[in-house]
Amino acid sequence: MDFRFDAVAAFAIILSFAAILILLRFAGWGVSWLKFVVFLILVWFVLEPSVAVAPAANSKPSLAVLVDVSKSMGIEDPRSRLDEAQKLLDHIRNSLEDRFKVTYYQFSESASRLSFENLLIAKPQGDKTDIDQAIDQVLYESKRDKPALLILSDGTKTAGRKEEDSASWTSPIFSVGIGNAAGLNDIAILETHISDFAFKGRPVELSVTVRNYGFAQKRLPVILKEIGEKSEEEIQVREVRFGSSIGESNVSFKFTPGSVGRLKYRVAIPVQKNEIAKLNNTVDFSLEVGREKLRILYLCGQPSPEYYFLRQVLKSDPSIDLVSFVILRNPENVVPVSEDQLSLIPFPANDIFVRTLSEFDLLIFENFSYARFGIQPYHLENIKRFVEDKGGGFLMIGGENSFGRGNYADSAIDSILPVQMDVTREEIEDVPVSLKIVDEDHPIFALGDSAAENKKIWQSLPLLDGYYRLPGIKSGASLLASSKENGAPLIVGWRRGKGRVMAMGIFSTWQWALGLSEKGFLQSNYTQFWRQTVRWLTSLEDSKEVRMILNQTQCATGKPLSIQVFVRQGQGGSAGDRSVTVTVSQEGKASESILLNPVNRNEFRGEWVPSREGRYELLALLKEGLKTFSDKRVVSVQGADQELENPYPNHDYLKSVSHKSGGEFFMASEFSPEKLEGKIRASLTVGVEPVRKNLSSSPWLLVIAAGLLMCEWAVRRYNNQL
Amino acid sequence: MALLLIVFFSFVSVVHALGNRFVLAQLKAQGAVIQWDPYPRVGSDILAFLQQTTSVKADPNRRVVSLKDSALFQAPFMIYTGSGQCGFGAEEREALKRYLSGGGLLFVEDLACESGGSFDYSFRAELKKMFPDKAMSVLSRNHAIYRSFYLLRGVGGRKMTHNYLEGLDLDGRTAVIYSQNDVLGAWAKDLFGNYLHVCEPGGEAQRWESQKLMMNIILYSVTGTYKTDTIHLPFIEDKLKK
Repeated sequence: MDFRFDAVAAFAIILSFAAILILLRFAGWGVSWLKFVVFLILVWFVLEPSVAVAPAANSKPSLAVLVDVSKSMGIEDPRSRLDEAQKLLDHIRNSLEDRFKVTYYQFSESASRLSFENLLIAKPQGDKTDIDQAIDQVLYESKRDKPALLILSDGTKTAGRKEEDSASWTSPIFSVGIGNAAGLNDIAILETHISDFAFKGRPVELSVTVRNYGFAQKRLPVILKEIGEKSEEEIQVREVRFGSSIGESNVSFKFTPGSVGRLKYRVAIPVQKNEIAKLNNTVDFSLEVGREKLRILYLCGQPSPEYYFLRQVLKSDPSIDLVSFVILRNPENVVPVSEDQLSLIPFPANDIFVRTLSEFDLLIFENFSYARFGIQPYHLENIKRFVEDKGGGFLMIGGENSFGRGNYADSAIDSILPVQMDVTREEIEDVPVSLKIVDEDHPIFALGDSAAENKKIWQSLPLLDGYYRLPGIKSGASLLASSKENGAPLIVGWRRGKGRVMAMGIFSTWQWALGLSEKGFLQSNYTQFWRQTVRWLTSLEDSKEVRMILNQTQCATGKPLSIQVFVRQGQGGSAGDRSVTVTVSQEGKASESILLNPVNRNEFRGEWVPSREGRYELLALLKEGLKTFSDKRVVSVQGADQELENPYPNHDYLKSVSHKSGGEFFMASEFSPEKLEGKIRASLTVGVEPVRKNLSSSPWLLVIAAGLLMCEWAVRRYNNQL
Repeated sequence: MALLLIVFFSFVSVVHALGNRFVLAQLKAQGAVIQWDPYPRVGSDILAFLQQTTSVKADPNRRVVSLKDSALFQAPFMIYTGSGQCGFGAEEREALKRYLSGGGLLFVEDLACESGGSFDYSFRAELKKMFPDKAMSVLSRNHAIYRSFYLLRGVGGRKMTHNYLEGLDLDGRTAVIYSQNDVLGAWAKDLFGNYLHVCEPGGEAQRWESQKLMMNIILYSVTGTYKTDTIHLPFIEDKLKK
């Protein structure tokens, strides 16, 4: 140990000598020396001298041995990885301790120091592995010794920094790779590739990558299922073949989504005997399926300008496939020619309402009386089912053969229409009418880019000639537009079961088209109104301002969930004016907020990594100026044992850590302490800060001072000097 | 009494709003066009026949409109007939252009039945001024006009100048139908109900074809290309073969 006095201490000594000289001059030797010593002690206390002690260098370099005790170390490939590490350690202990001053740690998410004996009986129980955190922690705790590190691990990292972001360390880190992928039995679906959007009725391709460890000469079925609300339906089965025991293979599926919306699918491979991880045999994904073409069935009771114009709008829309029937001749019409000279065809009532109705997305009745054309009540029941169960849309446009006048009261149609029917109160009013938009935010009325522009457009539309007086709206229905002149309901809508239904009292919207043209405007507002109306009637999603798409609605903890938010085309503003935030909440309590990054003006992306199991609600909120739009999704998060889900040893990561720190990687079978010799220097302690010790802090000094004073008092009393 | 009530309600039930009724409008020509209304009583005969034979509900009164009249845009179907020099002022031309572009249908008759005649020449020139990049063309026999109600193998008219109709297409629909056979002339009757003109050269059969053609043109104005939809094709082709 090296002692070193401070300058203050030296000054104190000089002062002490001066005091001695003074006391000796004025007092007797016997008493004075006692006083002098007490004085010296007091001076010692006042000056608080200290001494810096530099630690002595070890003769052996320090080495911290870290053993991974996470769950993945319990994997048997074919022997337990932890068992292998413990046996190796037991085998090399003496050799290690001969060469190094060794401390032992176990680690998973963090590290803890323990004795060698306890390390040998440690169990693989850690739920996560954070190798970086363990290294940081050990280096911090033993910074005085600045040891080199020896890590025994399978390298499977399930927490902490991403591998590419790992830090560089100043102490050399040596690693021993435990685990043998060749002894592992596991089938895993590594990746699924599929377009995130598909069209109903159009085939879509799915590519699945399967990885095999341990199953040689094996044929396995890969099953694609569609997951419904209550059951799973097997769509296709493909076979994947593995010749060798390690390898990857791709399987392709081609399937055709049969309905629209967000459809859920599952790719699964049956769990094999002795398979180490079971969760990775299944992957769920969802597919946003839209309509390539809306299929509309338009039945019109009599030819009219409204039919001509509306048909033209629907026919000219490339996204609409229109089938229409218009009754050209009623039984009372007499034609002086044979049927062969007429282009008329019999109305295929049974074919339409029994066989093909479900192929359509929207059914329009304009001034159409069912009773005259062989349509039976059970056909109307089919229409009801088409709306409520199949999610089809239904629109009835007023006319002398519509609503109550078409004998729909008390029929199955009555139950889905949003308006009441009473033939005594239903009338065709032959007066000019203009629309008062009641629900200004409703998508069918969104003709302009802003609310002000929208209002201006609706005010500029020409008057319509006449309307059908609807007696009243049903409870729960939404009055969308009424007559500006007398408040009569003109457009009423609601949702019935899975579908949407609208009742329309206006029947001459063609006058908007010609009227706009008269004023020199394009007909786009008229066209837009009808296109939005049929889209609202046929789809719940298309009319949304904001649509959130998640890559899956069932996911595992720790796995990122990708979020895409699409803003409806036509909304004003630039990307800079907009921000989309996704709030994650559980049981009504918001837990996280994610700000999405804009990809372009209409698309935002981000991801969320769920940390706990549960049912979460994700709410995407678009803020655009003072307006906000939202879309909501529910995600079910299941717990996933990440330690076991990916059972493959990750020796590459260990190599990377060792390489960055100036250490070296060894396979367990190759490692011996001799290989570390010369690579860990004892001089690691050079540069360690000396420790300063306070020499005045001992309580014995006070006791000595008090004793001396008592002695001095006793001597003086003895000499009768008091 | 009960019978009276039924009759009353039957009457009420056939009341239609003007907005969704077929309106037969006649364009009152300006300028040097002569005989813009040669058959003033034809309209009622046409409408009566239309309502008797088809389900189309029509305004029983013919409407006469001019190109300066706002009522032009209340009638999506309009007949324009005449002879002599056809010429529109700039304002009229713009109104007609807007009418046609907005969805209106114009049936034009060259009363003179004279190919390359004054009306023929001047009307084509007017159309060219309105739609410089468009030109009329012969309507094929598969056009919806030939099958919108009757299955027609040809055309009719008072005088068979051509065995076809011409048309101008705008935005995927035929907006102008042009005839030089005087189809309306085949309908014309005197006060005693006798036809005014002999149809040449086909006689009464040609007259019947004229009447059927007129019906088809009206039906086309309220059904558009309905009869060219795929679902009708096998039926129509089957009937045409017969």
